[in-house]
Amino acid sequence: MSKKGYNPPKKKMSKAAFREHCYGLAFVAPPFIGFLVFMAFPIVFAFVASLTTWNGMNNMMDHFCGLENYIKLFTDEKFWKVLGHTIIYMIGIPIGMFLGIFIAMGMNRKIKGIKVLRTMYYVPVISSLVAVAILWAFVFNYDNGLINVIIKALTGKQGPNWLGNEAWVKVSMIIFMTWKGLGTSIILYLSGLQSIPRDYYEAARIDGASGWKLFKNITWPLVSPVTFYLLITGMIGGFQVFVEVLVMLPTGGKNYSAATVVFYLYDKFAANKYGYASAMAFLLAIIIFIITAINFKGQDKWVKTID
Amino acid sequence: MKKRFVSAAIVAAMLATSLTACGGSSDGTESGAKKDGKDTVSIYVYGNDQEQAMYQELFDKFEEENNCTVDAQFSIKDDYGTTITGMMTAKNLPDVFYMGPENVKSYVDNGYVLDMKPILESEGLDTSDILSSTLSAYEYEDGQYGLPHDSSVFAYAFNKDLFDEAGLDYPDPANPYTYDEFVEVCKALTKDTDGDGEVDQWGCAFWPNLMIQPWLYSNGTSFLTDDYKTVNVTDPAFIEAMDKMVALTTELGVTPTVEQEAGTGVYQRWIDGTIGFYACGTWDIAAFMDPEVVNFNWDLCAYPTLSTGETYAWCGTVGYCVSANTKNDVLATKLAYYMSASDESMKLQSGIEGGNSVLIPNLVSMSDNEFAQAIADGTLKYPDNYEVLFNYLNNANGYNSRFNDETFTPNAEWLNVFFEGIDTVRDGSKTTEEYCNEIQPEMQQLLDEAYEDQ
Amino acid sequence: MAKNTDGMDSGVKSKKEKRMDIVIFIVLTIGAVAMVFPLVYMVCASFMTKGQILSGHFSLIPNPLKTGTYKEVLFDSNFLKGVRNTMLVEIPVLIVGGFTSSLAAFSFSKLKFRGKNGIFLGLLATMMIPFAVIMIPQYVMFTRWGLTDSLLPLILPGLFGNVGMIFFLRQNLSSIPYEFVEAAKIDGCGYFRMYYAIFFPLMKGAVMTQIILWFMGIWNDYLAPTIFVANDEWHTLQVVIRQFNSQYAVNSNYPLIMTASVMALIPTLLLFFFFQRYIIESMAISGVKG
Repeated sequence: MSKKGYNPPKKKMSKAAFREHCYGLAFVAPPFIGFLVFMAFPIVFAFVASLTTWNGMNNMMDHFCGLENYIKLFTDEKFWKVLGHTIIYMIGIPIGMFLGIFIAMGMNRKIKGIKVLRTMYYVPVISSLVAVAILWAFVFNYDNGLINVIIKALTGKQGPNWLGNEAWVKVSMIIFMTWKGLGTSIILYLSGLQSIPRDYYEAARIDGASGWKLFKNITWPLVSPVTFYLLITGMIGGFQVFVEVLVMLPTGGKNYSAATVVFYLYDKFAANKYGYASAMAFLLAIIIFIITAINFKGQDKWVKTID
Repeated sequence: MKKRFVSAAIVAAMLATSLTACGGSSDGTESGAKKDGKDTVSIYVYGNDQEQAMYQELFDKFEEENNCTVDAQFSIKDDYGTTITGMMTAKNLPDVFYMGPENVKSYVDNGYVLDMKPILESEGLDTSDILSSTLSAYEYEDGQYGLPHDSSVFAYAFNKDLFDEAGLDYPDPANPYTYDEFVEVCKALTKDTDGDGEVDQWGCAFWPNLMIQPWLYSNGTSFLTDDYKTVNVTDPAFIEAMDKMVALTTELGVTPTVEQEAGTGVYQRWIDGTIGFYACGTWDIAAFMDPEVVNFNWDLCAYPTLSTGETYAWCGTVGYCVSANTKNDVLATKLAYYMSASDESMKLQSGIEGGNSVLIPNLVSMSDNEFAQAIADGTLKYPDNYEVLFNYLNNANGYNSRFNDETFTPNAEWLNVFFEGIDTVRDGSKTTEEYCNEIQPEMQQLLDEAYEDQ
Repeated sequence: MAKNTDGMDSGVKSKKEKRMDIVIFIVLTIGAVAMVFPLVYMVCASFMTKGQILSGHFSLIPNPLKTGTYKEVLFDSNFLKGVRNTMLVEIPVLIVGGFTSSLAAFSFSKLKFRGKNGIFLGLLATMMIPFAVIMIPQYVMFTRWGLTDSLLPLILPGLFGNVGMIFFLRQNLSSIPYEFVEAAKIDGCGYFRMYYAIFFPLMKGAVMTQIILWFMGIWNDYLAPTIFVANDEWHTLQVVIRQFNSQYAVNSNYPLIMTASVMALIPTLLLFFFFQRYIIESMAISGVKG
């Protein structure tokens, strides 16, 4: 990022350079202060809290317990259960990518009216999560929900218990999240596709490649930066899924079958187990950090750039 | 050196301005502050819209009578506990707030609430007319740490119209059903009314979290042992009681199935008039008497009896307490007393005045006289068998009520975990015994933790 | 799955290509209709009676058409309060936050100062921190400052700027040559003037887009308002909508719930329809270049 001239000389600054230095700092001071007050300090605070059995009422520093919370987390079956659900929900990421790339390829043609379609796919993305989660909870309703009513009208049979059954509830959540996020994948893949130079295809076609081969050898590798971006943001967001579950299944579903890590964490927070909840939050941050790091490490192997 | 100092100073100056800006804005909310030269007392309570309107009316009256300002904040019930804990953490409690009996010990031990006894005595505020079983829930080590907002009971109700259609006699409040009698009545009420081959009217329906307790208590058992330290769900009497309740759904089919509940909730089904028996709390009365909500005839009755032969319901209360850090302890105590035990407050909230009843008067003399009178002469709309409520509350005539176990434990996490999986029993995929044995250790662990963390 | 390239170049499509276009268009249309169908149904359901929805038969056309639900929601004091409170957060945050963010972006992009890259990377890294980590400490902080009886917990953090916006604007400014700065310096132009007289006008469009996106983000935010604001009086729209849902779901008043949700969606949808070109563009840039 940094160009040669941008780095100020290490030792001495001229008066003008110093003035610029001060103004530069002052201009970035608000976000930096915001970062200190609303990010850095809370992170340190959360870490200290995670080492205590603080419940909000007692004195935090008197209830230091070392790594006990973290050790307890590793043997907490419920934590592993909700972590499992969280990861299952991420099945929606590859599904969204798969649908996204193919729909984007369809849209990457000169057909009249395609822009209207693009808008239609994108509407769920900008819709309020609470409102559409309420909507989908209704769509999935066993008796009167849209899906089961349609199933009944078409087949005469009662549809599945979308939100009440421990297995189906996961399918329902994945459908919902894929629906909500699909527009993003389409838009990003579309702009990825548009940046691929046409002569790549022409050259390949002269070599006799077509159809699937073109996709496999040119399209897919060249949109890999988009795939990478979707993977990273999808996973960072995926580990934090919460409001969806809270709105659709306020108790976490039958047998806690829909709960995610943050949902469980919020339950502990509401039960005043601040220490334990903080430890869980920290572990979550560590997991996200490691996964993101692995992704960045691994990207050299498959993420290609055009130039 | 100087240059670095200057740039550091810029950052520091901005930091300082931003912090003082934040600090400045909090001045107005400090408790005990004076507004317009009047003493101010802050109060934070929850309630639905109807209740909030009543509270506001009462606060206005209190302001007038005491020449002070009441700074009121409202919330809904769900988030209330979390918010109060947060305020405790921040040492920024309102002067008066709600405290359940389950919180008395921890709030007092951590020094958050005030013993009102000395002030009540010195100000001549008499508590002897307050229902003693409820008042005592707020006593701790000789102190009076709270005054009840309500004394509520979760009684049973039935749909008269369905009984008429089926040609059945109404339940007799003097003779509660036995389990077998209850099953027979439920079977007679369960039918397919439109002839499409599917049952669409049921004898009863359950929301287990709130409705399993009468069955347990009447079978002489409960979730915890008497010292509230051991989880008792593997007790044969517990399993038997739960089995009997679950059988209504699984074997006997006189309630909607778990799947049907997932579609349309049991409350909605009761409102729709397709359920014979359903529970009715004292706080539900105003809504159930409203023909726009419930447009069939209904009345109160007793829960069926199991092995003890007596009928049980659970009762509940929440109380007003005063922050230990209040600057106006006398005024705050007066406000708590005003809300809990003044004639104005009780008449308004019980519906003697205004006709909207959200609670039964805390004052014994009032419930025996004005309240009963208002029901008798029809100024207050109430179900005919209203004495069911008083029987339960006063433990009279073979009726009993008790606080639920979680009232006596530091938190209810151990109980919530029981209800999370209860549908696996109610849909027949597990037996009660399997489930109870499986869940007991987890409940016990959470209960132990609750006591440890206290 | 061949990509159509020839057609674009020549402007003349072969018969096969045309047929292919039609097939693809039909498939995409079916998909698009499926995507918006739940939303369309939501609008339909908001005009239905409760009885029609609970009948268990599929129907899209409200019969009878009931518009009273909208009146009921619109004049519900909680709904109006929710809209008011959300706007009370939006206005100061977008004005002040928009200013601080664009100023910082200018500084990060065009000024030279020590620690620049470190600070920038530090800010960027915060995007990876889960909200769950900072939720409890922020909650304690706001309670301790006595702010939970107001909207300040939602306003204050925003005033200091938005990392996503800084990042995007910095990207946007990088295409503007550094010579602009040098020329301004020679003219003796101060740094703040340089920002508002030269660079702010240059990135006005990008700032607008970012503000719209931020507006939508605040409008749709549920988590922070529900955690940080204790007093009913100050609940924002999304919290109110959720309360409508919990309150009316017990007696299955779906028309009311749907109506409230529809009304909560309308502003963001309108904004999107008017500015969709810019919004989609900026989305695409953050994905491809990010």
